[in-house]
Amino acid sequence: MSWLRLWAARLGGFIRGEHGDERLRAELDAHLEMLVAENERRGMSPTEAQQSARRQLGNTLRIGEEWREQGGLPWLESFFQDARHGFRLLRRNPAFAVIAILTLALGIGANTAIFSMVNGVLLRSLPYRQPSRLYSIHEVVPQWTDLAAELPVNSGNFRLWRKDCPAFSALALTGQESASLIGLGRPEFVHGAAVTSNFFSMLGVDAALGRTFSRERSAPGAENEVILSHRLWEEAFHSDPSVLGRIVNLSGQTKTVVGVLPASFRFPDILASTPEYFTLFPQAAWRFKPGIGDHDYFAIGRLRHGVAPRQAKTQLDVIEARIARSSSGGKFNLYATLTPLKTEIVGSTRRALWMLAIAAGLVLLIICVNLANLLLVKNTGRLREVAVRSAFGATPGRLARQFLTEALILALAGGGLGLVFAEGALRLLVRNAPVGIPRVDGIQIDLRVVLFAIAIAAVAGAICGLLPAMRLARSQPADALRTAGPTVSADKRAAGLRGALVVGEIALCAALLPGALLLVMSMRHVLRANEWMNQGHVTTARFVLPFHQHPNPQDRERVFAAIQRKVEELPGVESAGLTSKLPLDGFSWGDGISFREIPRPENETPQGEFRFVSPGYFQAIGLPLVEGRSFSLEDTSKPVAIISESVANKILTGRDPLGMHLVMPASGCCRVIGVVGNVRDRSDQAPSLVVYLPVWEYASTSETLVVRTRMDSATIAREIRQAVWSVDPELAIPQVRTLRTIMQSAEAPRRYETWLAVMFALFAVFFAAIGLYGVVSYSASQRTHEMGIRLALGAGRGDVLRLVMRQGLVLALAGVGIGVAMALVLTRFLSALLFGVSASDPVTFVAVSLFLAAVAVAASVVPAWRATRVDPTVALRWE
Amino acid sequence: MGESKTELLMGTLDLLILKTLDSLGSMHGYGVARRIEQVSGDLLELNHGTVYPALLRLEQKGWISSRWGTSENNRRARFYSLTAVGRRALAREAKDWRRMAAFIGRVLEGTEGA
Repeated sequence: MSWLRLWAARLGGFIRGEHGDERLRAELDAHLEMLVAENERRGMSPTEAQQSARRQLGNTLRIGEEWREQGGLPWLESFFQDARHGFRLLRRNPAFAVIAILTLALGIGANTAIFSMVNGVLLRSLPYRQPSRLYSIHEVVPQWTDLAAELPVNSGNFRLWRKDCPAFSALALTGQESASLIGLGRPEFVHGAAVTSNFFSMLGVDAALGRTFSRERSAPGAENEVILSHRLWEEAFHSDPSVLGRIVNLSGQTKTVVGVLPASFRFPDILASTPEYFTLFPQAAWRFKPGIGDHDYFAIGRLRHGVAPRQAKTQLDVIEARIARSSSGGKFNLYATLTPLKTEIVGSTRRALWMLAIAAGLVLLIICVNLANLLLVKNTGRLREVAVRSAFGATPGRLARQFLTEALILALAGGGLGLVFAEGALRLLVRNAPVGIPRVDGIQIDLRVVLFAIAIAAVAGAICGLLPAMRLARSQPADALRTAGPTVSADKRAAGLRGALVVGEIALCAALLPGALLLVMSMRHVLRANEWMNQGHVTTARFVLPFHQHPNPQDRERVFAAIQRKVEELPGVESAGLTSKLPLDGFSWGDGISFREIPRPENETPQGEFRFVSPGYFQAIGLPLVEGRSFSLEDTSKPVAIISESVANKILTGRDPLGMHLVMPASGCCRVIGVVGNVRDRSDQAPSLVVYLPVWEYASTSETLVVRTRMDSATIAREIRQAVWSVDPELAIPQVRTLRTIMQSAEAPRRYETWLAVMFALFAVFFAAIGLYGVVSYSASQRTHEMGIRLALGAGRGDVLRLVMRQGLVLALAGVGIGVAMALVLTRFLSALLFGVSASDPVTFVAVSLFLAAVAVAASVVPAWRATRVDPTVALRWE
Repeated sequence: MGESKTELLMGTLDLLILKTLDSLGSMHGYGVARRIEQVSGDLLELNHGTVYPALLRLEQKGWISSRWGTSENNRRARFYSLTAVGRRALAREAKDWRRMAAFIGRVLEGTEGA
């Protein structure tokens, strides 16, 4: 730690000023006297002795310099000197200072805000014990990857993992539940989760009140225990501290409250809806045999210390291979995949956030280049100052440091203001953040963000200051002193540098714009693809029947049908229908789609979704009938099915779909009676392969009612609830949402990201245009004399105009050329975010190039016009 | 100035000062500079003043300590002496130096032999 002591001594010296000249002078004086005395003793004359002593002692000025450098923190001292000088200069030129600080603050603020999101969503660790060892586990059936790349987990397979996979110190399983919370006013719909008993202890989460589940599964009554989320405890139980031991009615089943989770607990976002209550897995869920199919649950594992994820995967895959062999006889394969839990939760937001961070960084770079240019021009006026200072012995390094310090002052001021901007921007960003972006509630400006802001401010300062500093430090002082003012010969190299900077700016712009434009086009394609959902007034209401009261599907179907009939009778209702799953929302049942007429081996059967709908559904939701007819009540005795256009195109490829027979595993064959339009699972995915079956074939406990009304009705939600409760007063309706809301919230993340990307692109264009304008008009003003001569010699105003404009255009075109090449690389990383447009879409690139050329024309036309106004007589007298 | 005088090799002054203080005990800057000159047999070109930044550097490293005192001819002077850390450092540096010198010697012999 000797360097620490050294710096402490230096810092002490700097603060106390004790290693200052006093002590050295005293020592040198004594030294000199002793030398003189010695010399005299050797027989020199007093003058001789003095001269010789001085020679022996050496250059005391240099020694003093060296001493001070050793004694304190010279660079800190000179930094303060430079800073004071810089402040004086800025005060003398406040307009420049304000512009520089404001634009830097804008750039740094935008970057800091985006980094806060990156930090809060991507970097911040999950709020569990040793979160980096937590992995989410999925299963993969390669033969089914067209349905889903990764599947949830079969609980039977999970049981085998627990037994035979020592790589994990804990493996926990969870599944979505929902229930009506009965007995506390109106029945309330709540989402919940079934978990294994080790779930909370694996995450390292303790109850705030009471306890979590005991690890001993056989504990009597454990299956009837329930744990509440902090929110549910607050909202439904008014934060009642005596809630422990209370009996709660969940969809008719009684459960005892044993614990309340802390407010800070966040359930890992792996289920469709955030659970508010937790129960243990019922024994029934564990009865599944290991196999392929019934992938209904989500598994999380904690890796043992020193075990790599790959080792765990290898162990799991040995088990999976065994399961695949014994259950399908090798017709299907089965693998497990491990994803770090955080990656799983953050999902696709990662790419979008990094994209935005890059865009923000490019904007800041453009701002820096602009400022570097501005400083370059400003500092040309200071050549004489530089010359004088270097004549007095300032080294080039010392001069460069001076200019860097000035830029750093600007940047740090900009950084400080930028943090204020970021705080405001972040509030806007978080408030408007769509539901689809995970972990938004944890986004804030913390120490890491502040450090980031300081760091990028320093980098920005360095970028702004370095070029001008290097150029000035290298300038020839003698030349500057000889000429009267800022030199007319305008130093070709400086002009070349400024030009290069503008080319760079426009290149950055051209690199950024295509990405933004591609995202906008994708957004338009997404909107068009889901446009059918935006027609008319459609309201949806999902409700759930308690399983233990309605254990059989026929009974459930009767209840649903009764509700549908009630709603159809409401005034203003055009049509109504039931479905097991809405487009863009919820989960569905996946299975192989095969037709009797096109036999295929089991493991080559395309996988698709099966949805159960009632007559009236297609009409209510607005899905167009392409061929054939819809379900009707006369079909109850006949096995029939309707397929989506995508099934007709992809699987039946050209054959007439009507009259084909769909092979069903249990009930034989269903005749295809109609083809309907395509739907998507996510707004920016390819259309799903969907088979619709009548709801009376199978009614699950959860169905969604779709209601089309003649006009926008604010009261329809209440009327629907009343209709439902008139059939069953204990039914809770979770959400009544319009179809438009569903569509908008499915598109919201994309809209949000696109909007931000476009904003950054516009910023970039704006600043690059300013930069181009600055350079063209500066060089035009430098050439006033030349223009005057040209005009005096008979050049037309058109010639002068062309001359100036050409400079701007040449710079712009060079920039566009470089930028487009960069963009071709950059947009490739974007392709995962694109929809309906290719990453190298030629139209986009041509449009961007033309647009930037137009911007360049606009930016150079004013200086060019000004140049034509030059009065030759005035211009010639100049100088 | 005679041609035979050599310039001080960079970085060797610290070692010379340490060794001098080791043999003289407590000594002021003048004494150190004279002693180095004497030991070199006046072969060394030494600006006496350069001793002082070096002394400060060694003091900051904690290898020597200093206090004001009175010189043999009754002048106020600052006296420097080796600390325990400095003594250990000297042993280490001296060893490094010998190894280096031996190595350079070997290299030079090699080139002369070729």
